Amino acid sequence: MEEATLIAAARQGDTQAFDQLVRLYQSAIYNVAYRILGDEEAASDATQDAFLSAYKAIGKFRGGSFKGWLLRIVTNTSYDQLRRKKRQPTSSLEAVYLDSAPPWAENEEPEEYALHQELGRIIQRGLSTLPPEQRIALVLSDIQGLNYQEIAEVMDTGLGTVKSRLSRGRATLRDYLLAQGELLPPRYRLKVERHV
Amino acid sequence: MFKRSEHERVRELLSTYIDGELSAEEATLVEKHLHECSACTQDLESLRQTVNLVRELPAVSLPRPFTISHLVVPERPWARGYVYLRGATALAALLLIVLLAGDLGFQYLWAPRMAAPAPAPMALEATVEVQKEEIKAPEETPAAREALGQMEAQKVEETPLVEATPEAEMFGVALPSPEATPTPEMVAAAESPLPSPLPEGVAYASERPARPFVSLSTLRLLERALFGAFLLLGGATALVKWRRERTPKP
Repeated sequence: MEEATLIAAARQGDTQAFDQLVRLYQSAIYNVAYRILGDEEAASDATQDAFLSAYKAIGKFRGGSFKGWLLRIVTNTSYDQLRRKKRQPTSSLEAVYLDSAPPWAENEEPEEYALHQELGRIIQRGLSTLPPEQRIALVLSDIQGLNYQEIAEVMDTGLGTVKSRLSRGRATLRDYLLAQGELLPPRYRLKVERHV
Repeated sequence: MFKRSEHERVRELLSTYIDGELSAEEATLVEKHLHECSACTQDLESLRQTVNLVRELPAVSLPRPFTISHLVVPERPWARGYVYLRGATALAALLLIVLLAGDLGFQYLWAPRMAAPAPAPMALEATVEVQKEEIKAPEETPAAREALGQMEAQKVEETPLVEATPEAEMFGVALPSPEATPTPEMVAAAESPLPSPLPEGVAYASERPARPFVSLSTLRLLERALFGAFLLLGGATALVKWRRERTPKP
């Protein structure tokens, strides 16, 4: 069923139609929440809150990108989680990657797979060192693939601010990974040294 | 050698340069600088590797589904309408009670104070006429006429109307002679109460009652209108409630 039809049905109170929309976008929304919060429990709460809020506010959706609208809501619910728990998002629960064949798993040895998981944990720790605004901008850009204008709409800010946050966030993460040095799997260590 | 500010300016633009979002002028500035500065070139390369690592991060698996059907209880039909109708009915009932209280207050507090303090001139004249009739009536029969005359004569003897004094004579006060018999008209006039000089319904300023802010007819009209509205809203509320109760709960 088309997305517009599902949205129209959800507006009339059809929860089954809305659940079909949930199944379409829950992976992307949960991943954004997880990368922002770095914790499975907090990310689950933020994701569930986001979908409940979206259902209650479905009447206010005025068209355009439904995914972008959901991302805006989950950004706000993630902010709420950060304020509520004030946690330092080190990975209390390890991220488990998709059971259904990660892209590299088919051609790699289990050792490589384990290295990928380790890389993921290190990058997540690096993301956790960023201020929330820079972390969200980086996640939306480099994990979700949004362009600058879409990021600006989700974060309800200007293009200049998006560019600034992204630039600082990437530079800080880069410095963090460089500082890890030997901790990074050799294949993924940054090949250049930074000149101050 | 480059100025420190140019290095910093270019480094700020490297992230946007990677995304291809620089203006033509800014892109030219960056590329020209990179061509001549190995440090910034290495910065660009490390930044690009970082972005690629993040972009290649695999998606994490869902711990559970996030569907909402089991969390949301759908509203029964007419939920909001029922609430509004019920509130409107209660409001109409309240206003009707207030108006009825105002009506009672009007009847028992203002209306009596609006009544004239003195009897009407027409009624007064009728009273005088009645009294004249009563006085005349005895004169119609000879016996009554004689009795009345004796009564009046007795009164004159016992209570002289005016004391005869030299001063009275001096000032020319016309003194009735003791032998004069007061006429029935004189007796009736002496006994009747003085008519009020004010017309009906007019009182002295000090006695004027406070005027209500709405007339009785307007009040009655409002009461009827509110009563009708109350019946209508109450009927609609009852109907909606009956229909909702017929609908099974989700």
